[in-house]
Amino acid sequence: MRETDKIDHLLRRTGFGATPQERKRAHHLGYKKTVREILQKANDYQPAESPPSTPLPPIVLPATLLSFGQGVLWWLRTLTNSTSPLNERLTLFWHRHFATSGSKVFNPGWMFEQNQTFRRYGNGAFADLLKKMMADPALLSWLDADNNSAENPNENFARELLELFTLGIGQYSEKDVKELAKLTTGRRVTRTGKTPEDPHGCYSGPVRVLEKKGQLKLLDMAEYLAVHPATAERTVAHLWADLAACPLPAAEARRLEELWRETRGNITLVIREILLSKHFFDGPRERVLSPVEYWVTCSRLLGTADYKFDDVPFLKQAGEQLFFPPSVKGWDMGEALIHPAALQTRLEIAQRTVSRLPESHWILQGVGTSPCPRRYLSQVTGGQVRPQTLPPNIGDFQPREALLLALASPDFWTV
Amino acid sequence: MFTRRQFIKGLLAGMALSALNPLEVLAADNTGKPILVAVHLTGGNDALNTLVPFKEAAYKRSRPNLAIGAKGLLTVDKDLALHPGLNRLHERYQQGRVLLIPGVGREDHDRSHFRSSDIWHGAGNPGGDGWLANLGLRMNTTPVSIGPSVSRAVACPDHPPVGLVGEKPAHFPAQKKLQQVWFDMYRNWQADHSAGRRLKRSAAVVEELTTRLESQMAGARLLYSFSDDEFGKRFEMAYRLIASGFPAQLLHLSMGSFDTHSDQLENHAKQLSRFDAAAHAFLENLKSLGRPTTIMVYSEFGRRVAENFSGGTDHGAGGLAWIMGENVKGGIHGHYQLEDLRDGDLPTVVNYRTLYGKAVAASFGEQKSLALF
Repeated sequence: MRETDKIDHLLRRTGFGATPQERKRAHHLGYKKTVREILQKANDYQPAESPPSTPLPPIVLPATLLSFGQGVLWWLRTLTNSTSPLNERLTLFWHRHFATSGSKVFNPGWMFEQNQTFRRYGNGAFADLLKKMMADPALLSWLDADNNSAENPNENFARELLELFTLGIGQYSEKDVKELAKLTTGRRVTRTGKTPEDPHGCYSGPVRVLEKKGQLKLLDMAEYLAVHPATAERTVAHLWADLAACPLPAAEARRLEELWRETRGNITLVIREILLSKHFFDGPRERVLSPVEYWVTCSRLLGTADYKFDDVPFLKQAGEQLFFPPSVKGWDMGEALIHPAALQTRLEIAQRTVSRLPESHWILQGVGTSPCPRRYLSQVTGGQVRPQTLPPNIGDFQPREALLLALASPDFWTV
Repeated sequence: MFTRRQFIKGLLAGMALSALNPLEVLAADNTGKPILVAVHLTGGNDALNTLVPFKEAAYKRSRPNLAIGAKGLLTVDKDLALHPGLNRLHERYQQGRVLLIPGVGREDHDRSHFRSSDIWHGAGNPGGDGWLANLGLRMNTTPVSIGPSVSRAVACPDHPPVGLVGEKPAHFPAQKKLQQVWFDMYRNWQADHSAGRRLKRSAAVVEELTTRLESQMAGARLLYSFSDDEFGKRFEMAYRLIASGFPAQLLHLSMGSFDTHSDQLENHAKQLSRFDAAAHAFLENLKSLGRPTTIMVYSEFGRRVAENFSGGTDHGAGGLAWIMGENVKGGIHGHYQLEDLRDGDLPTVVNYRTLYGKAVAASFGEQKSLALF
């Protein structure tokens, strides 16, 4: 693999496509310096636009839906315009990990707040992010921990904490779930989204969860669970699948897990090791883009972020309704994203993107009305589409048609 | 020059075949075989105002504004009557071709749309195969989902589930030429990894569906026309697909919404009569094709017995389902237990798996049903 190919691979896997400007700059910097810059930007990142404010409390259903719609548009624009695509990729990653659905959340604003928490803490220590989640109003509401009394502890939050957020299934017993559930009692979520502890509803006796026993607090347990070897193994594997999308060699896995445990799950450091690993370039190009990732990639490459309200319900049809994961397990990723109906919806995404391009796009790109120069396609798609994928007579098509074919080509499914 | 069928067979050569591979089914010949269509009324259809226990004091008491009076109701027996908007369904009932199942649901009811649908569609197998996918595997046929998104009922981990979302399979407005180029691009593409092979297979299915549906849409006029609403469109697509000779025997349609939290009287009436007209047109058009067809209609839950303060009802439990078709033995199975509510909800008296069993038995015979339910 040539150095420039490695850099393009790096840009696509840590962002949404590789724009001509990003490629030019990175090719000039070289691989290692580009890695450093990508990680630095993710740390410094602040979104330009604040999340939409929501009426408090939203009394009627249409107002709630309107708020969620505005939130989705805000997120799509933020994903597209971000100065740190990696940070936005991680925000999506954590939304899939701590998959919270707005369907049970009293105020849409709490969902946007959680989103900002992912942006702020998502590249620091996992232990800190997990502790933030222990008092996250959206997550507590979603998993019935907003009104959980010591007399009859609800196990929902404790179970998902062990099964999906940290250790993974098979690493704990039903008794651990029951014991941990006691520690999740006594939290309330107020109408303004505060999550105070209520001493009356709070369980105060000793508990025994895995190797820990005694008078424990939920936050102590979170710290313990965050650096547990099973959590390290599971979360490292997820990060590897998201970024490297190839088999993770056992020795490499042990090295990354050790780093995880030593650094309380420092995401930036683990990602740095993944990006600098020689195995990062292994395997075929098999990272399947999700519908949102695909859309944002198209938009970024074309320099547009023209999302409309009608796109919000369409995301549901495309199978990735932001803020409404199908369950607490999040979305099925990878090959499950590929099926006949998904071909239909991606084609629609490509059509929406191309049809909204302003005339100025073609003027700025130096492309007339006909026919379409191959050079334009290769440049605008960031080298994503191989020449042999496109029909041999692609040059005979109108620019808009040719661009549509390129974006809707099989090469755009995986990066 | 390859024909499409040869192309599909070519793709199949050298692949380990399994019954649910959509391409294999596309190459199969199923003409004349019976069809089961599962129709999901999404959002939670209000059972009590669909099949109305019009004499029950508890019904009238719980719904001072929403109870439907005896006038206009379509009587099915001394205690129950269908909503006035369901007159075609009522006609079929009188001909003995509709089995009504009040009180259907799950004992461990859940008021979340998603979780409840997930359990119904997975037949109690969360994260596993959908129940229609499972049935398809045994019957050697691929189920097809038609609706706003691909239903979990047809999902299976090993193969891409076949679904039609939106109103047309592959939508290149008025650009026939471009459409063929798009298909060719996927055909000629060299897939060097497993995701790529799955992509190629999926594209071949889309091409097959599109070509069949488009020639069907352009072809014969319909005996009974479908209305232009969601119900009409879904049923029309299902009909066109069958009429095009597509070999599917299992279809899943979703349509709605029936989530009537407010202004229920008007909205519910509108939705029911739209459904009634579309289902009628579907069955009547199918008569000419000589394919015995059974429709099973269900919803993820029924609604609360008591009305709310917005002129609607909230999410509840025990619901209503019905099975209709030429091979159905009509009648009523189950009942509403209004005097013994569970947390304000109708208790479940018929498990949803019994409904599946009856629908499969009516469509394909007892044997198929016994193996599964």
